[in-house]
Amino acid sequence: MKKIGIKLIPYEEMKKNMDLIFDELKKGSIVIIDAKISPEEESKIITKTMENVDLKFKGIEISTVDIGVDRNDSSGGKFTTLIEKLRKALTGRERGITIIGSANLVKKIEKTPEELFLYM
Amino acid sequence: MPIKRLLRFFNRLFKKKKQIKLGIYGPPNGGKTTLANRICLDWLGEELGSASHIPHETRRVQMKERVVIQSGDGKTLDLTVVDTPGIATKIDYENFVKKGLSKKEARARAREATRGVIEAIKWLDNVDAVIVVLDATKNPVDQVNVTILGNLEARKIPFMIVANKIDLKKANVTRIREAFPNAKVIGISAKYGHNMDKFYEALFELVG
Repeated sequence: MKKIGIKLIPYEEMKKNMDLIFDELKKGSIVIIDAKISPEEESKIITKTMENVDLKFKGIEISTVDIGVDRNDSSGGKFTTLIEKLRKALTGRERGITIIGSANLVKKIEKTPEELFLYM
Repeated sequence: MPIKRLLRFFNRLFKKKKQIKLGIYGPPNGGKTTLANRICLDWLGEELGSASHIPHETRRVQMKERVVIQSGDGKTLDLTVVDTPGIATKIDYENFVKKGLSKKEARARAREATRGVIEAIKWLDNVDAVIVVLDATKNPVDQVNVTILGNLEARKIPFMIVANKIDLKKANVTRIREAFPNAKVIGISAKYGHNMDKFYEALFELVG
């Protein structure tokens, strides 16, 4: 039986030290960040990944996931979007999660509006 | 005041027309270099770099200056075409071995490719507009594509998507349009030059 660890890294900690992600990935864990990271942060993670790639560590699979729009929102999502924008402006983070796995372990991440699939 | 106005007039008259740095971005093997070559061949008569079926053929940013393209109504664009290495989240040298390279060549290629990805991301700060080249035969909903487009939007860099390889049976431009409904998408075959007139038209709309 294969044991796979899942490590939750708080967004604020990740922002302070991105290397935390790679420490966990190299241990064989899958990393979950408790926010949807921005495209700029993603490009920083890709840059860091490339600096870490060697014969053993081949890179990452990464996916960001939105926490869905409130289905009870009668404005068709506009109200929720506005609230989200305000929330982001105040807290600096977007609602959702980011999932990162080492490419040695996770071959592909596929997402649908409802589910997330990790191919190992 | 008339002096200022006069100065402005002369400034406009003699001002060197701005060169537009046109970045060509996308995941590996989408046809970025083939498109860069097509543009350079069409307007300069010479190619920019070599393309290959082995991913990460372009491992350094390469560019061609003074690519002056002309529209049907006589407008011109003075471009510096910046062909960038493919952006990827993983690089496995063993994939290059499978494509026929020796282990030594494959490892060197992988090392250079990682530096290429970093260089391509850094160059986002230097380009004025971007063409994102996607392989129209592949699923466009990929995190790398989402990251590239997200970065362009966040940096307010004008961009359009090229759905390349429409000469292939499996190509599906609609799927790309549906995946990125807010972006301008042009289907082309950079290899055979199909739809390049539409591409240039869209390019003028983008940066003209």
